[in-house]
Amino acid sequence: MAQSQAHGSAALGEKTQAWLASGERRLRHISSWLMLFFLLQGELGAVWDREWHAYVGRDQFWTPPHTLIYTCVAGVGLLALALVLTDTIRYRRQTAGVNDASTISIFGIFHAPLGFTVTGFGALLALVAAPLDNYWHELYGIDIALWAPFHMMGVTGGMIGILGMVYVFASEAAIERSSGRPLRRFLGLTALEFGAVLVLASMLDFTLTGFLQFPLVSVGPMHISTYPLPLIAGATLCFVGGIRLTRRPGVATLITIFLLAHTLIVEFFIPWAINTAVAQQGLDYRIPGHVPSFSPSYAFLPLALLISSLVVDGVAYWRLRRGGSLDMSTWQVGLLGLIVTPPIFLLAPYVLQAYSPFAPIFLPEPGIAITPALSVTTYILSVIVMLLMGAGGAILGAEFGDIWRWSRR
Amino acid sequence: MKLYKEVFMPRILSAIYLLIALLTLFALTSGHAQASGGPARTVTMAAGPYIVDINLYQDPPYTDQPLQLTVVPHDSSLQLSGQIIAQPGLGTDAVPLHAKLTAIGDKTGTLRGSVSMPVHGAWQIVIQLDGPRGAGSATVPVVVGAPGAMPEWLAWLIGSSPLLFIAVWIWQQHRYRRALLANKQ
Repeated sequence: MAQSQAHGSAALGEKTQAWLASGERRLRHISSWLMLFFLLQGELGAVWDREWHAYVGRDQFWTPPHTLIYTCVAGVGLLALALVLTDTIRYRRQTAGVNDASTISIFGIFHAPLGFTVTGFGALLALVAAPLDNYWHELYGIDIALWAPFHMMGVTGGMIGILGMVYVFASEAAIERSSGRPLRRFLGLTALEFGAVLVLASMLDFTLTGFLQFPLVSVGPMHISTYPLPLIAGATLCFVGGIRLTRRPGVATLITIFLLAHTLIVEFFIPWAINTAVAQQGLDYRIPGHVPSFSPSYAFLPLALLISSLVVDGVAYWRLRRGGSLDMSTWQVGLLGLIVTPPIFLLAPYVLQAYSPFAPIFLPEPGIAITPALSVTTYILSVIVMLLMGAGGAILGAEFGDIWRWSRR
Repeated sequence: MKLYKEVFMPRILSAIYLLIALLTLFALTSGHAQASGGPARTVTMAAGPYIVDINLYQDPPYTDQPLQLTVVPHDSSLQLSGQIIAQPGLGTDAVPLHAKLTAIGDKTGTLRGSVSMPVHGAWQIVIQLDGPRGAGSATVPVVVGAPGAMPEWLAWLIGSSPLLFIAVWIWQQHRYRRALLANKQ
């Protein structure tokens, strides 16, 4: 009888442990998807803000797009903070599923998953940058674009936050895979892996939001657009990182497709949103008659990345078909980054030519003859820098991808 | 080994971080000092038929402080004259300002002038030139800062400080990855 009671309570304990562990999973999963929702909202706000600056001007801090952006920042930040505090309490109570294997120690006081910690830090950074950016606008006027110190600080915060969200989804996917229970998959990916891939596509979308405002580098009368650098590094990082995270060929192309969906939705939404807000608030356009409309160039810009994503997927598929592993050495990954870079810097200016006067990478000063020596030197150096960015992005993607694949923290 | 990891390693890392911070500070401040000696910004432009280097001696300029500039023609044999027109940009509530460009009288044919802009925000500096080949103009956009503004180097130092964190974090993640892969095997 006593033995039966002991056995019964042990079974109850196991059930409770399992339930508590699943409670922790549920908490993290719900938080992850809510964060993704906030991220998509914030990205819409970021593009809307860029276009609002161009068409309406920065009339006040609380413009509609700023409201969308800072709701996202606050939402993500509060979610991350809540989870860090909850998991710290749960860790101290030794709740099932919250231990050293699934959390990191923060300053020896808090215990929380790495992803939520990083995301929270990114949100905090973006929040700190907001008043400083407002101060900078007050000092230098409304037309200060991306390349201003506190804009960059906010953008860095956003980038850290998005990177953290990949960790959030990836670690939960790793825990799910290691549980040994059968997983439901679509196109070979679990829901959490889809979440991670969506966040990677969002990271690329975030890059597209500001990349055209990267500064021009002038070598005498030759101006060189630097926008391909973040585009190339972002693309190679996300493509290689996505493949290493999921171990599925096709994920790089899936990221491009998700990105295309992003830019299409944004291009349908933003002109309508600006026109509606301007009409409702009785505002004037900065330049009369200069009204936003659907831009096919921006909407289809992700197609400039399609060849590169197909090559990354093709290499992954070929290696798996040969019975090999996707774990390529650093130099092999770097070489892959080099190979997929030229299609990006050759196609992007072509796709963007109707969208921006800064679409060509090389912009000679009008009316000044450029010497062949200067042209050749700038072309060669620029191509080398772009190739290095591609290789660096791919190597970084492989590093992060492996962590995302295996880390359960 | 434990002593090394727990005591010396954090100290070495702290010293490295401090050194990087100091080097960044030095690089940014020395760049600023150089800018105050020579031109802060030089742009090569075609003002109609004349190719000129326009040197701005303050970048960004500040309200009510004269922005000194020189115009250096690539063809030094040209005897140019001209004027500066500071036109307020979009969103800047001000009127256009005019100032003369005068030849400094050297062999390079350099012209010098200055203009003080009273309102912060976007401005266009239009350089109008006259010479043997006729008239021409070139435009340089500038953003004028308010007086007492935080120096740009300090703003960039604060704004880019998270990058230091990212660099250290990426390095730590690199080591974490190695540990993860080692455990996997």
